[in-house]
Amino acid sequence: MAFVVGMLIKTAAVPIVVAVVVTWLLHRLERLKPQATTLGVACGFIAGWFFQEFSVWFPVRYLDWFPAAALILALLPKVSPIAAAWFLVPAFPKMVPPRLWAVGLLTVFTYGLAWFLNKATDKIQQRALVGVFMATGTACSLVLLQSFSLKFAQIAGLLTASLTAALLFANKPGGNAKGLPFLFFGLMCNLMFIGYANTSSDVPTWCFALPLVAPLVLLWNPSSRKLQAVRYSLVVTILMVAVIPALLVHPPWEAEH
Amino acid sequence: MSRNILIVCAMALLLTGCNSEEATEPTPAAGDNTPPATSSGSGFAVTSENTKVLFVGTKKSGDSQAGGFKEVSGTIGVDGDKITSVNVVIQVDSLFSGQEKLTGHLKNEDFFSVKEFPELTFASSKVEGSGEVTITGELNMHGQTGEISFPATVSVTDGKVKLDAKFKVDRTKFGMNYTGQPDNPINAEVDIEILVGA
Repeated sequence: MAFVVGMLIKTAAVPIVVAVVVTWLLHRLERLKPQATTLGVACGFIAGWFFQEFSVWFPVRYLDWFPAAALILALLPKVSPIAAAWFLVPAFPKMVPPRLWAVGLLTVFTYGLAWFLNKATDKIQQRALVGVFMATGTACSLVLLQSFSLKFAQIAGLLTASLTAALLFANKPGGNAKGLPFLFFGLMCNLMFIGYANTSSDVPTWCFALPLVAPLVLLWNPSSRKLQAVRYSLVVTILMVAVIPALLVHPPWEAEH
Repeated sequence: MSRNILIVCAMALLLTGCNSEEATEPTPAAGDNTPPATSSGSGFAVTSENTKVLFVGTKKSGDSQAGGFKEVSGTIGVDGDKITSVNVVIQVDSLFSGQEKLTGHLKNEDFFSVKEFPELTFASSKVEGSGEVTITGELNMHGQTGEISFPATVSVTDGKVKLDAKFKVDRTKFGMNYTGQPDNPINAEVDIEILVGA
């Protein structure tokens, strides 16, 4: 477990630094300011990706398309979820659902989640949005780790770490994170599907999907402090309901190889 | 707003409703009740019952983990008391090891990517010698093909083939680059043992 924690810290360093520097630079360009955070997070993710041992310069397999997907999701958020799903969904021989169905479902799923939150970014505190994205990313990383893939957990970690820039540069509602929900869900939905499609573990299928709906709780924006606390408790509850069963099927405290 | 949330939740249910494929029970490993090998024409049938494919992975520290594959099929070409070819298909999903977590990790993307590459194949291009032979051929593993050559002890008696081979395969040449702990990495070379007619 100490090794896993150490690796996740190592995985986090490069994307955090690059995302923060790029976001800081883009903030100085008035024209790019509305997307500064989104582009910074994408750059952090891409930089972190190319520091991993599994990265290749020219895509060969479905996984190799993650950096390109991050770039197009950041540059053309509203039209790219279908392209991201097309390149990232694998074509395994006995995959359930079959590839074309999976591409369709993931495109609808990504659009559904990202569109609502993107539309509401003017009303949601950006720091709250990014915080919930980071919590969701961490939950996804844990589920993927429990499904026996350190590589997928690392990829989720790269995106979660990159979001640190968005947290640091969070300003007034709707400030500089236009398109961020498309980037986050475009990468994370596909990654969780890949994790589900690859796994030979006993992690329940719904554990791969449930964390992704947790940020939707932010669409409920009550004014009272008590209800705000209830809102965040609801996010945490959804994430725990996804993570705890995944932890229990293969307890990390049992013997490791 | 609540209607919108309901629509998205319905989409979530659609995705979660896609159940993974039912896990199939692996066939038993070759054990004490191994039936006698059968020959088919000029070929000897390699089956899960008469063949063992085992491996041992090691770490820099010397720690090792053993495992193998339960489902093996193929043919060994026979000409008199010599073998002329070896063609084997292994179902990677039949991989086993002593630990559930290790088995799951080996099947996943960090190693064999079993869902993407469900079969591992070997097709010999030449077999040199008699008794103590050298088998050369194409190994297709993890979606990549490479030539390997290994020594084997072979005997053919009354149509039954016995083959015993021990050799090493560099997994990194087949795209399995996972190294594990930086201070105690997993060695690139994996010890392989194949026993036919055991």
